[in-house]
Amino acid sequence: MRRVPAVVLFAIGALTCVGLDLAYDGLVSWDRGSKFWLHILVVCAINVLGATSLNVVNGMAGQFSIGHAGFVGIGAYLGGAIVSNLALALKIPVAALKDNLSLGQSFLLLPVALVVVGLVCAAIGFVVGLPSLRLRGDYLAIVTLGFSEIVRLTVLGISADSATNPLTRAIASLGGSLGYRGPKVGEDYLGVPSVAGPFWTVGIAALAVFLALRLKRSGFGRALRAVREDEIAAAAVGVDPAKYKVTAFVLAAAGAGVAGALLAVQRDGPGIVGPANMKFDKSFEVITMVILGGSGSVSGAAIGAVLYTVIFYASEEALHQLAQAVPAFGSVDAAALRMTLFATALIVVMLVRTQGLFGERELFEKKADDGTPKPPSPSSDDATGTAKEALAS
Amino acid sequence: MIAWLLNALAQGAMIALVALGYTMVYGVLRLINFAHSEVLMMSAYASVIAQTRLFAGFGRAGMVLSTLVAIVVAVALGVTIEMVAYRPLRARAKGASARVAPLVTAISVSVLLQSVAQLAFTATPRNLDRALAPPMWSVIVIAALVMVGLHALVNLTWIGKAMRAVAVNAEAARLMGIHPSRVIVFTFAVGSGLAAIGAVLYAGTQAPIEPTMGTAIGNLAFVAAVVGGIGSVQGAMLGGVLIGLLGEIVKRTSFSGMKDAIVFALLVVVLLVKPAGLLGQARAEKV
Repeated sequence: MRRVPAVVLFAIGALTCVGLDLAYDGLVSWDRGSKFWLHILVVCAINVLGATSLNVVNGMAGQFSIGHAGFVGIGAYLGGAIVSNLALALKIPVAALKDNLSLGQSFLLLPVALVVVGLVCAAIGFVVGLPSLRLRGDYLAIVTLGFSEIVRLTVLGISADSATNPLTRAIASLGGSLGYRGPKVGEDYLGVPSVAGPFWTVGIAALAVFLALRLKRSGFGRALRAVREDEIAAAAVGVDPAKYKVTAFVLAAAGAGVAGALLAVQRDGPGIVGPANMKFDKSFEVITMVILGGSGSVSGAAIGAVLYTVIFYASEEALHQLAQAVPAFGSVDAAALRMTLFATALIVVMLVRTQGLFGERELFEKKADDGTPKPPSPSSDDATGTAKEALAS
Repeated sequence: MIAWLLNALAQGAMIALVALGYTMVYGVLRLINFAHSEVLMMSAYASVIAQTRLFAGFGRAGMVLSTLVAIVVAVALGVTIEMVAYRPLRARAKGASARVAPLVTAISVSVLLQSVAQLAFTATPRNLDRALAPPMWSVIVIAALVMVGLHALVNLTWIGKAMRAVAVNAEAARLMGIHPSRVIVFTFAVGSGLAAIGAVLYAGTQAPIEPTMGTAIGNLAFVAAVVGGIGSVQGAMLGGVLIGLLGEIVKRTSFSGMKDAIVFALLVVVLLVKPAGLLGQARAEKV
């Protein structure tokens, strides 16, 4: 097959995303009711980004991070703060901030915010990942759980009246349990602007999937797989497990941060960043997407994210309809019902099909046909051979 | 001052009771049993339901009976989780998924039980009758007795020896005529029972019973287990007392809102300095 140059692909992708963005605005102004459905597209894209990034560390590297929500939360607060303060500094009309901003205005605000958020989250990921990934075992799970809780409890725990130094004052300005509503203008809060439409969300999600696929098929991806299958064997053939695990974790952290920033400033978003973004439930959601889709498979994680989002909204709507027909259902806790459903699904998947929907394979990929080396057999006795083979190719 | 110290020790003792469940299961299975905190929460509900429905007029004796009900429920639940969710996985999973799959399952079971509690009992907190609450000194006495009993169980009995044998090497234990799966079930039963005692003491003396209580106490207990050295029974007791003291000290400073964050920060520091925990032993890796 003749290869299409990457530049052409990229240009087509960018144009498609601009088209999506304009179509979104057009459809919403034509029929306000379509907003609910179109908004699902934006949320889908953000979830795809979150799942794709977690998949790098949980799927490709075989580590187990359960604190993804911590990075998503940091990204959300930081992204929200940068975008709203930047909007204030650039004197983009305050009244317009309550509403969606145009695509042109978003170019003034978003690139800076996303780059800063990505870099900051990568740095934090390095600090969190380095000590826990040098060790073998479940330390990453423990530390990431602790990390996301520290972040959440810090935001919740420091109130404006207990803030004494600049650092605690900065944390207190994030609003604690009320959530962050942008900088204060006079008596009122500015709100977090809704700037990220389909151009940014779908565009970045597609870019992330593309990069993750390239990563998986690169030497780096093969080294990650070797580390995942057997760290000692990988080290024996010259792959430094700590280096690869930490790099994977840093990439995942950066991706999660960008996903969080987009979540905060999504079009038709809530205009507020709440600490609920960092709860353990959110980490569990992303784990569900990755595991259901098939950990290690990029398209699996992306499809898992889309499936999750669609089921999320469909179940919400179904329960809503049901409650109107049968009033008794009105008091059912929708979130708890959903978590029951997904947790059961995950347990069943683990027991029946541990590798998830796709396993490690990609969509439209037959077994070992594209030149990427597959382990000859999944038996662990062969792990040394797998690692060597992965390196040799 | 003495009252304060007594209270801090009681806190630590309750945390240690729960931490023992984490550490014992980790010892024999190398699995962080995230569902442990939900077993605790469910047993607290069992105790409050038994206390209000069955033994309402029995006074202190009713409280003891409800505690027994809670222990039975916890043991049944813990053993069921092991048999239904964890055991089939050990037989099947291999390679890289052998490490991650049990963790995923453990977390899923935890989320499932918490959501089921949310649906069944709603988020409205319930309370054990505070008039029947054991005094603080008795919490320490009860916890100390239980721990002495556990120590004797692990070190002096046949089944305790079997547990230690499985923890060191399950294959070798099997060759010596020990059934690892029976030992594992026993470990889950003991750990869950201890969690039930901790849950009733905790709910009786200070906290309301709600679906999220498992996570709140479980996180502290889990940190205690890791700080003490996960897999070590004495470590869990030491870790529990340390976490209890630290929590009470932080409460007296201006950082009281950050109590749990500071506890987690301690965890990260301990992992950095002494990854195996205070009393844990670092093992050499073998191929």
